[in-house]
Amino acid sequence: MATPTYDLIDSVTLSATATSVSFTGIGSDHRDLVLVAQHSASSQSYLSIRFNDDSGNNYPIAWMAGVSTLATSNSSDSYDRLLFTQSYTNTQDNQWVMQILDYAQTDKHKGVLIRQNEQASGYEHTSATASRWESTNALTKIQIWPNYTLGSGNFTIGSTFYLYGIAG
Amino acid sequence: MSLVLLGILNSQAAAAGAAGAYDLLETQVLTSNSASVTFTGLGSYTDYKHLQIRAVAQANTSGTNILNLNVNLNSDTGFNYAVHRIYGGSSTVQSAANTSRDSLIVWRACTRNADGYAPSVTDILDFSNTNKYTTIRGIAGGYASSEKTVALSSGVWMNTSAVTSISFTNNGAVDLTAGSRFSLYGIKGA
Repeated sequence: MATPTYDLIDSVTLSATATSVSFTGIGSDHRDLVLVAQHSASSQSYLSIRFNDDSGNNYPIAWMAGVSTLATSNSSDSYDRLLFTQSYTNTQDNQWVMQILDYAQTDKHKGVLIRQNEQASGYEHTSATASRWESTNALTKIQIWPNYTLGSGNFTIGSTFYLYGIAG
Repeated sequence: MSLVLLGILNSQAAAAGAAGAYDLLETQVLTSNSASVTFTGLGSYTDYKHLQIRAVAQANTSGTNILNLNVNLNSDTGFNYAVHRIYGGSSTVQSAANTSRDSLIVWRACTRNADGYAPSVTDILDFSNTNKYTTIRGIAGGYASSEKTVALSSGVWMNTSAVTSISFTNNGAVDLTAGSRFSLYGIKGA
């Protein structure tokens, strides 16, 4: 029996600049989450994401990117946030799709996969990132900042964030 | 800019309001270790153009690196597959291809039993079209003591038969552990 899914849970379209965007009260009605974002920011930095306000070193990351003619990659065992490249200026969009699998399962860490691209002049790139939230808590909150130094920059007006749930 | 994976996912997002455009068809969550996970009877899903498998997978073995998921279509274990992948996580991005293999590969999509479960999302395109070979592509990533990797994989089954079954194993030739989950989705086309 087919079950229609890919359900819109919540969305944010900024009508004013914001230092971060949050989705809270995420229920356990689905198996996976997909976050689709298109945004720009007030300065160039790394995008920072935390789940459930967890600021511990619980986010290992592996990433690869193609930047102009250069292909590069790296990894880290333990960041205090999920971190990846992000918008350059307020006229250059950053787009990404983040998959969070088994987000509400309390017997597993949460696998995260991201595809991202950006049209920043002189820094055009595409990237893929894998991460894992090393927690067995059900994920109930996602908070996204446009900068590595939290609160130091803004998402610009018109930035959009859509959160979907997928049954499984 | 041509970003196929991002494109299809954004297309799905844009179409989310159209009821039944993206449907959960089946889920298998292993309650005990198993050598493989197989979806059969896919010929009955004539309403759909593409398939997607969303999985978290773990192999019942120890070790320091990440394993791959092997994918066989219609129980074909002949050397009728070609595969490609690009992956990163160390200081360099690497790529590789095999023009003749006995399975498709979702690269680095199966961690070992001390390393959690590796997530993957794999698309099987035009799975019932008998005028062309069937292609897949996937994204996956995992963590092990000696390896942290994100990978994009693609491949082709050099056969024009409609896909009626999909089977997943791992290249360690060991069981997938209990808790591994494979969900099959159908995506409608015009």
